[in-house]
Amino acid sequence: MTLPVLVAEAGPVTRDAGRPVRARWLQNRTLLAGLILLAVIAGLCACAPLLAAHQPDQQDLLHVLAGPSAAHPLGTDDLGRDIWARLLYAGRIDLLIGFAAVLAPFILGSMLGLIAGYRGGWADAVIMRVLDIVVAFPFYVLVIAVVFALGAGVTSIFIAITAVGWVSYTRIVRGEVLVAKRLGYIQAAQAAGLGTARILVRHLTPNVLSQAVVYAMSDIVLTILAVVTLGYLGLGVQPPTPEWGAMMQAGQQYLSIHPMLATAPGVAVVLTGLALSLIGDGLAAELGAA
Amino acid sequence: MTGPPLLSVRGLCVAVGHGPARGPAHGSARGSVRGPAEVPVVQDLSLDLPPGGALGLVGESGSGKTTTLRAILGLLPPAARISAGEVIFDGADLTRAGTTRAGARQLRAVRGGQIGVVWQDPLASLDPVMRAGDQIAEAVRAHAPLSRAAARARALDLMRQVELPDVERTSRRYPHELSGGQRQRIVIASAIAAHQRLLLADEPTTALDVTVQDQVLTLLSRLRAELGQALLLVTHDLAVVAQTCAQVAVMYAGRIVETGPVRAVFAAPRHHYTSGLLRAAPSLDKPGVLPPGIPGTPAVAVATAGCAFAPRCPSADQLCRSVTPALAGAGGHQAACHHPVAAAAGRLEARRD
Amino acid sequence: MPRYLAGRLAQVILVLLGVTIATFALLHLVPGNPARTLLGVHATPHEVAVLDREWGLARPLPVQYAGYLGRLLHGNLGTSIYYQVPVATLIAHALPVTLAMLGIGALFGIIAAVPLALLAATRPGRPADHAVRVLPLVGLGMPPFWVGFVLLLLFALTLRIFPAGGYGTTPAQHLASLILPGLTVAAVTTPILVRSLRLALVGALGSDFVTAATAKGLPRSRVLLRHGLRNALIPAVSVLAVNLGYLLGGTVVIENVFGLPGIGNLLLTGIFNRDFDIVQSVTLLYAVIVVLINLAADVGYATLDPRVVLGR
Repeated sequence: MTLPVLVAEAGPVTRDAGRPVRARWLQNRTLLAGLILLAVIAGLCACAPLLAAHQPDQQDLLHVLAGPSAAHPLGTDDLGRDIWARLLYAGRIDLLIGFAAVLAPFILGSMLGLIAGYRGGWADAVIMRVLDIVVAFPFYVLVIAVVFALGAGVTSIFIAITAVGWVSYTRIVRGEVLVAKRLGYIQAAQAAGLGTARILVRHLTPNVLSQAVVYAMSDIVLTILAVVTLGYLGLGVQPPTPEWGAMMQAGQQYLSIHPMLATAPGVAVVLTGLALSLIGDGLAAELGAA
Repeated sequence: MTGPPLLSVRGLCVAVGHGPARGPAHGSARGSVRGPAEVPVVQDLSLDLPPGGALGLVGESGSGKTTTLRAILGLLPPAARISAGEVIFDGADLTRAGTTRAGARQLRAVRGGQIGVVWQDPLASLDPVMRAGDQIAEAVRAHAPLSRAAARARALDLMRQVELPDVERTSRRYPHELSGGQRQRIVIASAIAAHQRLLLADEPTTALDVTVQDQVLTLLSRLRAELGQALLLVTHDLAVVAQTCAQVAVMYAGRIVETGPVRAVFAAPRHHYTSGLLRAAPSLDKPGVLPPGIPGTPAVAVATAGCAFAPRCPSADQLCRSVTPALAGAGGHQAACHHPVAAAAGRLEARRD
Repeated sequence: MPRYLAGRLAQVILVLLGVTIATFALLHLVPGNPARTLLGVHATPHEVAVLDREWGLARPLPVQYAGYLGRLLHGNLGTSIYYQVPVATLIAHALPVTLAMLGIGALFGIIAAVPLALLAATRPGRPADHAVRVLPLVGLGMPPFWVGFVLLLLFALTLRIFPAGGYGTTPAQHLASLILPGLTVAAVTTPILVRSLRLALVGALGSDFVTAATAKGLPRSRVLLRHGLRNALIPAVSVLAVNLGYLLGGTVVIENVFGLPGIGNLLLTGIFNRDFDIVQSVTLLYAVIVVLINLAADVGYATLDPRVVLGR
């Protein structure tokens, strides 16, 4: 997606060059902090059935918009549903979709990048022209338009994000392929008579994909944000399935009298985003410097 | 030497660590206790430069000569700090200046106002987005209360002084639009803009074509004579020193191992490293003969006792390996060697003039 | 330069053409017959057929596209089904609002980012540096509309300093109602700006010419700003230009949170009312804005960096 191109920083990672790789990862404070935070959030959401006393869609119309209490740690929403339970179950949905929705653009974009970079010629020209056009649209605008065209729902989210998000991967992979082509090993493989597919898969891909993987890590943040935003706009996951964005949208009207409704999912999103950003940054420093 | 030296460096020690040193490159982080994993890059360095004098600081890469230059100005990179010693310019200790507000102002006045610098790579040392003439004018205005127009006029004058052609047009160009020689002249112009009394030159001709090198060196000598500037020239090229300097100091592994008048040192070197260097220069008298090199690799930042050159020296013995030699000798020609090259043997022809 | 502009212009036109094809194609993916959508579920097949013919929906797609392109070139952006006015009129009222919000947001972003980046770059390794480096991480993980929420909650609903939404009628009210949205926009741009500016500054301040400038005895402020910042702007501006698309897209949601009558809200209205002409034209408009700004950025970049030579 045409999202913030983050200049990868090789930050002040305190590392000892002599230690084995596993220990090095543990010393990367950014990465570690992010992983821990994410583990906590994911763990909480995964254990939703154990941690939530109520079902997320269990209405209790006698106790709408209630404040925090023993029965409802975060209070209830406008239909009397337990906010804590909805928060956890919504987290499952958002995290799952977010992670899954990064895969398709990654695969599609990388493939196109490989083809464009390796083949060159008209394949490259066509792909880059299409890329130029897709890039011209602001990310959210195009995603919204696609979801509009296909109708709201999870499938549409997937298709929309894929259709718009492949762009960055293609750019990155194509760039790496072009660099790799100048190095000797591709020509050596060609001279040895290896077929295109074999070259692509066995030789080119492993070397070229690392940058794309680094990018994918930071892409997850923005994918989850996109899912949440679409939910907020009512274009994403449809009710009654709980979803953080939709919860925030519902809570918007009660901001002055019952802010918890919108704030709780908001905090959840911010923390998740922070965790993923830390991981993305830490990984970028790790893999970029390696 | 009459009168006090213009620049006097005494016992300078520079150490390089792994991260930004606490405190500025000058000042507070001093003391002989070395921080964790710090490496001594310059050790116990002392030199004197009289007003109008010219001293060449010679050594290979890693010998610490550029670091010495930067230390004099207090412009060490973040990981380095002055761990001991002083730099006295015109009576004031520059190393203590960074700590106070008044001291910092004084340091700023000295930099550029009293001491000019010519760097090794003129393309890297000029701001790429500022016009050449403006960069000189900027140096002028930093040390003289002139209006913009007056500063620009003075910049043009300076450009003429450094033999730049077509000064009007050249002054409006950006550094990347000029040739290497022209760029270096721009840098030199800034270095004489405020009638600086001392010129520090760090390999001023290394990045230039050979044909231009000679021109720039001649220019430097001429300007020095006209303006009475003292010169501290850092280089690895013995010929450059022979051409421009009256005194020479040879550095190895962060220490000065030999110092003295150029003629004396080149004609009869007393330290084995110096004589090795001189022998290693190709000679026009013996064409086709490969000059002998110095065996081994140069040492950098040696922290242990003993002569740093011992592993590569044909005359080294147990004493050399255990006790660090101090500079000793008569008549201004000193060498830090327990067994200096005998005066009779090792007599060399004076290299090219 | 003129030759470069001509070449770029040609490229821009090609891309815009592609964009129109894309928007056209997109909205013909929409399932369901637009005529029936307008007329409602109780429409008779006859009424639908009449509207169909009126809109030319029975004709082959390329012909419809040609008609669409022709209308565009005449400045006809269609008519809103819902509002019954030309879309061009709606856009004319909405665009200034969005641009004003973006302008204010960009201003806030720069005012925030530059000092922060300078602070971090001049004190490497110290607490200020670490704080400034962590801030963008937090900021990037925040959905723009959540920032809007917080600001709304804090300043509008609790402290009652700014209006809680809408746009007002007088210029003063306009300005007041743009402050919080502007801050929200800044919240999105500042992390990106701070990161790239800080990195660029660290690079610039570590370069030889900055050391040389300090050696010339220039005041620290001049070294920092005229030599350090000025050179750091170059890579920072290029990063900003690349991220433009994302920033622009965020305005859609922000306008929704604050109820601002900009083109973002117009787009959403069009979507929820299934108002095709609005959706088509506003989407196209967004793409046009991005393409034009990219072109301007390329040209502006060349003025910042005299080493850049435009053209092949």
